[in-house]
Amino acid sequence: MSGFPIPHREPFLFLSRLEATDGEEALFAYDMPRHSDSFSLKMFPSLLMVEAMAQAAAAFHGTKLAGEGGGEETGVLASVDKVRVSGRPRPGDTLTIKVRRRKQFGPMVLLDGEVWVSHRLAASAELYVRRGAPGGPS
Amino acid sequence: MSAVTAEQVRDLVMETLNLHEEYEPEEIELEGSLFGDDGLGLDSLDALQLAVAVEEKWGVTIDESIGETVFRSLKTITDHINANR
Repeated sequence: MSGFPIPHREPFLFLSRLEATDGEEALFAYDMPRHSDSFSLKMFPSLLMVEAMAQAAAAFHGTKLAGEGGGEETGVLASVDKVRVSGRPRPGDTLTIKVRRRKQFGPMVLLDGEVWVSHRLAASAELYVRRGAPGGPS
Repeated sequence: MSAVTAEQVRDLVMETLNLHEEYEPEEIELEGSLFGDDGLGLDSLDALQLAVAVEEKWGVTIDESIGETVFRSLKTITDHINANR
């Protein structure tokens, strides 16, 4: 068990702990390993920063529902937009991953995601998540 | 402040949802259905993206509670924007 309400596991889990949440946004931290048997990385790839934001969005969504007495509902990443990458974390860095719910429309939820490293913005994106079981939007 | 036209709304819809490859602008009728099998077949992801785009461009909010009514056609979107600017 990862401790987060998502099925991801190391080495493809990019959340180490939940730092803070106020119900509408959440801050997660990820400690990028200095050495890994699975990845040989000199830098954290841009696409994995998007994945980290998506995992944070899903974990926040599941945690929020549990806090509201919700059931086992999960979310499926439906789309990303306005992805901006301005930094590359290196092994040993701690990433701060921030997600904030911006709008909900039917089963679809829009969240703003950001990845920060040492107080510098490394990536941002809009994440569209569909609530409920996998399937096409309706 | 001049009124938003249906043509401006149509341009935003086509740009936001990348419809240019599937439709010519004139194919999207003013009062034609946007959602469902008898219309353009837009879905809930499209609705959320459109709601965000309208809010960013004209500062008019479209909440989930009125989405079904507002997103019926280009005309209903245009009317909602002009009534709430």
